[in-house]
Amino acid sequence: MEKIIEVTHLKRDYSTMRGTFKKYKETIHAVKDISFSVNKGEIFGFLGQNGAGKTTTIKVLTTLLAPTAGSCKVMGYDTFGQEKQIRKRINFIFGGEMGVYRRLSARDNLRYFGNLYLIDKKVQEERIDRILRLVDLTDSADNLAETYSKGMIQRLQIARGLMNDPEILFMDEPTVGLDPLGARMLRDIILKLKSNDKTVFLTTHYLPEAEELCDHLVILKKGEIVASGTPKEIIGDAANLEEAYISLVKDDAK
Amino acid sequence: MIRRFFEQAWLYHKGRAAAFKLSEFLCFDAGYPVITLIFYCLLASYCFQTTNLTHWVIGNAFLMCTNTCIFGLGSIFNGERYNGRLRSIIASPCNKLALILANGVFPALFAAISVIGGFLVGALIFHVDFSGVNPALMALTILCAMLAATGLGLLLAVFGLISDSMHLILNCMSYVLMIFTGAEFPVSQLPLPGQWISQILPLTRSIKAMNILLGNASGDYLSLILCELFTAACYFLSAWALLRLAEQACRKNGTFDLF
Repeated sequence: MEKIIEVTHLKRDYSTMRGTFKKYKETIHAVKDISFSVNKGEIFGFLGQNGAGKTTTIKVLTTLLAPTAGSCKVMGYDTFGQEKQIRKRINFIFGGEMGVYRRLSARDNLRYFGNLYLIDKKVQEERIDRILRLVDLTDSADNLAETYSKGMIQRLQIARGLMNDPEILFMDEPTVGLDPLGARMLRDIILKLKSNDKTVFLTTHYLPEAEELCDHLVILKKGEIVASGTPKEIIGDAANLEEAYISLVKDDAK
Repeated sequence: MIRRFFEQAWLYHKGRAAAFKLSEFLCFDAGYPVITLIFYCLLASYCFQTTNLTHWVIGNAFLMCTNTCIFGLGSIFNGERYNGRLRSIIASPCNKLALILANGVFPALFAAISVIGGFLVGALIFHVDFSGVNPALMALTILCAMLAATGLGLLLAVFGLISDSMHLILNCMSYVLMIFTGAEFPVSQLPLPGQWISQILPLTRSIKAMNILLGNASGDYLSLILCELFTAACYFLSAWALLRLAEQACRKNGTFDLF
């Protein structure tokens, strides 16, 4: 299996200056020496509590953050220093209602973000129509995004993340704000991406979703990996993934 | 490439403002600068006890132009960060400087309209006579001022990646331009260090060149215009050189989302 992401001894700290008169540096160790790899074409689940370091890791992998120590390679390129080779071939979807132009229609939003990836005009227009159908926004494609519901904005975010036909799609809690039908649609999109040999890096708090979709899971706790393996391996003797997950991340767990 | 540049410019403008809402344009883009110009010209007429307000009409009209360029461009990254779009822009393979420039096209266009509006107000209210001025040279002077202001705006926009105090920086810069470019006070009356500062700022030479065109000052028009273009080029180059460093710093400090 070809390794498409390789993370080796990754550490990421955030430092802030505190104090009014006597300044001192406060450092938060968001990610503490983690190593893992992701195979091409797999759906990789990255689980953990809020503040466990999931989003920080995704930001490092998507070239938005520099690692404090260790190395991250995406498609063989270093995420800090060789980001140019990575950026055109990946994309990401973050949960929440931010990140799109509210005073633009869905179609214009996709044109704007498509242009950031220097996509040919003809290809772009065809892709926009196809993606809008995929996320079920065709009927409201020309309405301003400010008229959309929370779920529709999230579907627009998904569409934005697919605009450059990425080889790796990073999804940070993409089902936030989606209704059950929307969440189902997203799961179908993820499976379709997998069938097209695309790699999906997924973080979610919805554990049945992770159990259903992921080929491999990593569970983080306070910046450290506490479990790694297939869903079956992680569940082990527990009743389901949720039970196994809780026993791994609760504070008194070893 | 050119099509993409202008499509981005248009989409950004549409996405940021309610495109072509006449009421918004009249109140904000045109009304506010014109009222500001009237205020400073009246202030100058009392302070300097003069009825010839040509110098202040020109200076303030150009200040309106630069302020639109500087605030429009300088706040781009801050605005994108606030709306959660900065990460999508930075993590894309597009040329960020070209993107900032595209995003500045419409602010610059409105800036040019503001200058012309300022001249109209000057002619109507303060009786500044533009009849003998070569319109082509006047347009060239405005273009040079806009280019230099755009260069400074780009440079300030880059600082938006590493600083969360852009409002402070932009407002300070606005007052620096007001004091040191000769828009409100003659450069020759500034203390010597102030005169040095005025030479590295955009606008100083454009204002003087426009005064020469109107017969309100003497000097070499062409060399002033060339110097202003050189200043613009320096700002563009500095912005280009600093952008990559600022992006690296931003990635090290983790300031793409919040500070």
